[in-house]
Amino acid sequence: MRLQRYALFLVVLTVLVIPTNTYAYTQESSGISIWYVGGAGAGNLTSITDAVLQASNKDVIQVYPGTYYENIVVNVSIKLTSVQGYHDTIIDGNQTGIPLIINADDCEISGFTIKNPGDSFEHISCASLRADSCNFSNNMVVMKKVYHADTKSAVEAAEGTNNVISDNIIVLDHHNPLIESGVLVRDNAYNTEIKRNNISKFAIGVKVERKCNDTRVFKNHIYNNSNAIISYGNKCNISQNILYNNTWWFIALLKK
Amino acid sequence: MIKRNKVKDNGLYGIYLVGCKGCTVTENNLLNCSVYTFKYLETIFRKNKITNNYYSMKDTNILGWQKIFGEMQILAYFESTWEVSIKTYDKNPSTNPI
Repeated sequence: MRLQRYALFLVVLTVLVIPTNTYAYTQESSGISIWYVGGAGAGNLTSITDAVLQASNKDVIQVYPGTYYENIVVNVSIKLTSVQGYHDTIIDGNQTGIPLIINADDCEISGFTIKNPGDSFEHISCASLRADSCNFSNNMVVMKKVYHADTKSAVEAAEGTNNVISDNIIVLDHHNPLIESGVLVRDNAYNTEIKRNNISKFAIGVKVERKCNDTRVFKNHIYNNSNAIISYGNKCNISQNILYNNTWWFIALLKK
Repeated sequence: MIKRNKVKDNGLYGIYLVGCKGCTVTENNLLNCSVYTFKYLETIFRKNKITNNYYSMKDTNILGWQKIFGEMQILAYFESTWEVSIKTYDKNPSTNPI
């Protein structure tokens, strides 16, 4: 009995005294685990990929400031966020592959700077949404060089439905924009929402490819691009955007 | 639908419509740029609606309709095309920014 009390005391002390983030994860009463990456916590994971591999559906991964040189492939429905926002938390593809690929539905990604993809794939992007109902928001996405892949974009929605790309800063940090897109909607992506983003310095700010129907582009600031918006999709709704200083034109190529 | 956008200081055209069918362009502010249309032969009868936009660069006819310029591709032979200038109108341009 005395031993049991002592053990219980130790458990309570552990919970009360030790900050929650000293473990790799904590478990909420709802069964959702919160995983911690980086930071000074004793048990925190050191890579986002490790956290993603260990996480289950609906889990949360919180990332502390730092630069993470990774190519992250998300195959579970998670919420991936930074603790302090995109200024200090960087996912760097290290010029190899795509830094962030989302393959699972219902993911939320926010608070990262994502940059530096490689140039060895058919489709190059910093972040690629290839699932349904994902939310990519409050990130900074930076392309820094000219790539030679068939399609290249900072952020792309490919194949999926009901994805939201919102409140991001998306910029090409290079003197020669050539043919990169800030946001690319391709491969039958349906019902994609692109809203409240700042998109600048690309050849095309937002490009919606054929058969990508019901795309909504609204309340974006699109400036200093060669072209602001090019849309080939049906039923594309382009509204309440502010488009300025684009070298060529704001194109809407809509075929119903 | 292209609605309620603020399109400003774009180098060539503000809104450029290519082969659109049933497209509505309305309530946009076009500041120091214009609308330009380009139509292919097969789209000659497509009904696009350009109305109630504000144009800082006014170019109107006697009825106060804003002129919308463009081209129509009439004939394509070998690798050449024959294009003629076309003109349509925004029949109800806004007098003030929207």
